[in-house]
Amino acid sequence: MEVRVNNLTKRFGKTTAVDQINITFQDGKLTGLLGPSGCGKSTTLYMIAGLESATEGQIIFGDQDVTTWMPEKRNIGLVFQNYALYPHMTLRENIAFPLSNMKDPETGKKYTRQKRNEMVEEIAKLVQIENMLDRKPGQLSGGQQQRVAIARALVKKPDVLLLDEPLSNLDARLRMEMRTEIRRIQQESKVTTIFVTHDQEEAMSITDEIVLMKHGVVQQIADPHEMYLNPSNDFVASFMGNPPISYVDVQVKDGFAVLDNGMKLPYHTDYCGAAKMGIRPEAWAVGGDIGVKLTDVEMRGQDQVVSFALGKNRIRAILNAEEYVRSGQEIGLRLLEKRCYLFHPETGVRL
Amino acid sequence: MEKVKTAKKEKQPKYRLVEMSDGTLRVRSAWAYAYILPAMALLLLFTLYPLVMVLRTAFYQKYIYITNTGTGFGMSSFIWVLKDPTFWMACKNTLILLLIALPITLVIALGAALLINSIKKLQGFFQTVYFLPYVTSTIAIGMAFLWLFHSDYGYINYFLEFLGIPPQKWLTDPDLMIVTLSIFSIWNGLAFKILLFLAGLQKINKQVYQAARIDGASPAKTLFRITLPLLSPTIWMVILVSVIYVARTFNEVYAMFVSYAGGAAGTGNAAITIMYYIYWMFYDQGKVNYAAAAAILFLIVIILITVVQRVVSKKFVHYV
Repeated sequence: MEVRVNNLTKRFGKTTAVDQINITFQDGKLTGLLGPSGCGKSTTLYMIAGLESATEGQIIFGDQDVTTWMPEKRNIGLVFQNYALYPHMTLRENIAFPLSNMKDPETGKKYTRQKRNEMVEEIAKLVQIENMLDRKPGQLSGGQQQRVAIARALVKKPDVLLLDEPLSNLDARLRMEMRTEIRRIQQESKVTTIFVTHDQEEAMSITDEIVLMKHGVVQQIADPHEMYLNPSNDFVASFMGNPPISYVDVQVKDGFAVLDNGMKLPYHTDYCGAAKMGIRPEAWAVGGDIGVKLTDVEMRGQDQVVSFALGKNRIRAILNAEEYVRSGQEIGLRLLEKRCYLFHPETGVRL
Repeated sequence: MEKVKTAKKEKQPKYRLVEMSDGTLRVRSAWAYAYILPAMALLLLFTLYPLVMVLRTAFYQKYIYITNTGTGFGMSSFIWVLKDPTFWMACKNTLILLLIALPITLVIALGAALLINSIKKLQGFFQTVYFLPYVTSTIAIGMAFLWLFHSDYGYINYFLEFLGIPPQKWLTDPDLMIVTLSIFSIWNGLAFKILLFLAGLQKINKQVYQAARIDGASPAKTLFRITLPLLSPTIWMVILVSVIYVARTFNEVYAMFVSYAGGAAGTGNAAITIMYYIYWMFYDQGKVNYAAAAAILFLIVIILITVVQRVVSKKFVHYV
């Protein structure tokens, strides 16, 4: 089911947590709500869930305005950051709990015990916990608890699945594993999914579309490629990518971007004047006429991150791991123009 | 660096490590006994020694308190106590307090805690108000209750009169005295239980309730399937504490009834409890060996209750 929010606003007293946002979450797609902490992404999710009321604006599921509906009426599944499993129930009871509060749409009566068990086992198979249904949540690892929480959210066949920072309580290896799992489960169940995260890598790796927020305002809505390669402002450019983009203040003129110290970087554009130039670390390559002195070299295996000063600014670049460079060495680099972006020096808007 | 090394070599370690059956290592040291010595000394002096002395006294046929001498040895004190109708009245009253008054207290306290927990504003205020009786002396509260229940001037009879019910002799009618005692006991037990229940409720993860809402659980279902099971360790702990506390009811009796009836617990000892019986036998009747025998019988019952509670808790309490 397609989910739309129109001019959605949430104010807590005088602070505005979410400010007039308009988003369309496409049917059957996995959308990431991304942003730094305090940007309003979780508040947005909880408003869609109905656990927070909207101060202004509408929330529309399909063609129904659900803004004032109680959460239990919205037919959503929600996975909490700390899973919020019922600790005194077995996994089977946990997953069956939503069903025990519903009527079977086929018969109009309560689900029979047999039908309930069938549904629980089917969903348990999807999230691969079918052999531990008689355990209690306390006996499971974080990743397994995560799977139970997803199963409990999916068992009632919700129109929308909402995930609130589902991976943040897992260790690094499990996080990688679970994010592919969430992707697989979402593709198999084909449920419209909204996924809140503060981790740009997580968002880029599994979502169909990313909504990037800051201070309650949507910065850009785009698919991961577009978001990374075509940022609409300097915040988006900074937030996406690791190591992050580096900036230099330049004057752009006649095919060059000129730094404060007079150094010239080749850059072809119609724009002319002052700008903030963002350079992705992978825009650099060894072998060119831009002479720099490396201040730091971080070997990462598949590549290496080097730092150097360009004018007053510290720049980070990713170089091929085979280039044997050391800290303090002077090398010549060249710049790939299409991975450099110009932003307005004050507003940060892409030029 | 060098100094540390030599120091280590010279000193013999004062402890050794012992491997336990589950593979963990434990420190064994003679010093450990020194550390628990103060606590042990107090325990021996004030708990174990009196207990042994009570046992000894209970088995005398005759015992003179002043000289601490007894004659005859046997079960006669126990037999006398078990044949004493006042002892059985004390047992009956204590059972009424345990089986009727205590459950009522628990239900009211739980209800009040649930209500206080669900309000957002003034929660701290109500918490304080409900806790005030706990920090007030039972004797002082008893004084206030004396006046409330007074046959001629009491507010309770005044209120009953308002409803058209004739005034009752709350403090002197032998049939009513256990009711009065129960009401006092219920009221007096509320504060602490409300506080403990509130603490237990506030420990439950709020997101579990949000999850229950998303899962479509009705408020009643949330209470019975989520709140109460998750609160069960607290409920159980409160029951454990209050069963022992109520079984030892003494202050309430002393404050409300004794002033009316000399040394006895109200008219014809009608409000007597086991604890008061022991006290009354000792101080008022001067039958120390009977008081000791009653105390030993009481101890046996308490131990039995504790055993039952252990068995029950394994079955019904969800420790998470």
